[in-house]
Amino acid sequence: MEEERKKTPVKILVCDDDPAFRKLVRTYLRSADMDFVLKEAGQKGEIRDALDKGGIDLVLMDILMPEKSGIEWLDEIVEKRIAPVVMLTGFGSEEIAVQSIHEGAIDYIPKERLTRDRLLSTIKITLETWKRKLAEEEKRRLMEELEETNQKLERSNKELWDFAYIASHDLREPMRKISAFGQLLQKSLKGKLDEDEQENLAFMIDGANRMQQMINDLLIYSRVSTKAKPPARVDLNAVIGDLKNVELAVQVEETGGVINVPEPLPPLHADPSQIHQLLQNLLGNGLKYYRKGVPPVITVRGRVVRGNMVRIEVQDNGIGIEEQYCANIFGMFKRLHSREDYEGSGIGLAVCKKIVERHGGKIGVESNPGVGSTFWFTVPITIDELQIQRNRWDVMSDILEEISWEGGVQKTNLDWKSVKRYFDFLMDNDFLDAGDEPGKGESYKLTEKGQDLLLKLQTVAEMIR
Amino acid sequence: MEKIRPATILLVEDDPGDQKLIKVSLKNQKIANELYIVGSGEEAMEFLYHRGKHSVGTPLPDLILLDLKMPGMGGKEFLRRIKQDEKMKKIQVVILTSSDSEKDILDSYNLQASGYVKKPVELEDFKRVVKEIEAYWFIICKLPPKEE
Repeated sequence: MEEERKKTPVKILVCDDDPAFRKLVRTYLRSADMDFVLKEAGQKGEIRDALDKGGIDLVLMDILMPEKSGIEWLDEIVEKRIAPVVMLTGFGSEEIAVQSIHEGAIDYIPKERLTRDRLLSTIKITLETWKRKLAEEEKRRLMEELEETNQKLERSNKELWDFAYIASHDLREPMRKISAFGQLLQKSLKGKLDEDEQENLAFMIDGANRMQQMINDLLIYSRVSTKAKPPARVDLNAVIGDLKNVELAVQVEETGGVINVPEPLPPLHADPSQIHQLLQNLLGNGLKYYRKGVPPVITVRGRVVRGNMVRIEVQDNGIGIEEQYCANIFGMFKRLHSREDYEGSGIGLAVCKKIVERHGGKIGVESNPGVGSTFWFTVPITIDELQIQRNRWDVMSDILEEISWEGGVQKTNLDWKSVKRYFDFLMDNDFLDAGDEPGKGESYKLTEKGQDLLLKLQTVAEMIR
Repeated sequence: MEKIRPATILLVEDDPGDQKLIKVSLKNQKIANELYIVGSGEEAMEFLYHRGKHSVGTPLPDLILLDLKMPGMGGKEFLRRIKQDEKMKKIQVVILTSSDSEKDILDSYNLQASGYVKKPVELEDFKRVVKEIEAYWFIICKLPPKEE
């Protein structure tokens, strides 16, 4: 900054009707090691000209100007954001000086106390303050703009979904008529139409039915946002149990499929009916896209990631998805297979994506064609589970900290009952090492991996507090 | 054996397509029924109170099948009015609508609807459901006796 100022001279406008004072300022600036261009204005017209011409970096303004007072000029300069203003005050005008600060002046200098150093340091500080002020204002402006854009987006998004909901709702009725009366016609004309005519009518009814299905799907999709419910604790294990026994029972039986949950899944903080729908779609897909002759085996696993999210994986042994399709299968009405091979309208995964994103999570798939796919998603963990997780980290972090502090620890020094689980976990994963001093009882040291974990745990603990 | 009297149904439905579908569904039923059709809440009021073009004096129906979304007086307003009338309130009213919004369902029962049925999308389902409504109210249920 210092260097920059040496290269481009700072343009200062001094406004004072006293020529002697202007000369004093001129003299002080000339002897400074900073590069200045000084403009002097003693009358209203001169100030006006200088301000209109622009290019001023700083204004020194006498409070007591004839015709138009210094405060009035200050108002104008602040209003138009022309340059920072330092007020020059005469004897006894302290009160006005303080007022000028409220009105937007950066600083003031009592004339009788003006020295070269005071002038230069005030200029320097004022320029810096001004720069910071402008940056802050710009930042605030951008934030406000962003906030406004966000609100607009949210509003138009909501309007769009309300529209989609109402439109699809109203579209359904006429489609129902086309399909119903088409079918009535088909019945009453049975035997009276030739083969070609029968086919035409069948196409018409089939089209109407598919259209109805799509409108239905659109309704389901738009309901994710229009019929959203507040989040609550969701027990995924129970959800999957229900799905197995009710919604997916027929599919499980017909395919001879299995849905495995090897380890209990962590509870979620989410919209219960939407999570139900999400799991139903993912498990349903797993039961649907199986390889002929290979009964579907679906495995659901879950773990806590990034401290406050749960990652759920739904793995199947089905037909899999070619890599090039993996990215866009979550789009609306995207289908990879013909309707004859696998029925469905291509809304299921789009609904899944929308549900997950509504919860602030992500969804994705990893797949091996001919071997199987793993769909995964993340959603927030429950608040009480988060607390348990925090405690778990705290305990582990405490163990590691203590060991690292003491440079090794005797098992007997630990409150063994409460930490055993975590201690075993740490041992099993090579975070701890049994010391090599036989006969001294069991003594433990942190491995390199353990030290790394300690650092990470401490960072995470900081983050979530 | 009780003397079988014809069961009368008043259908309040603005959509001519649905009017016809319901008429078709009730045909060929074993129950001897008489179906009257009106196209709006206002006309239904005229029918019940023998006013306007319904001043000829048709007897009160045993059952009303009521659509919710109609131009002018909607189904809910119609329901609210007849349930306030001592003479009308014993008539069973079954909502038959395309809406499955929770609000509509709740509002309808709060207004003392006897049942709430969503119009099935599939033609066969539609016909079956309409027949089942009729069978339920006229065979299984005992309706209040007719005033002579």
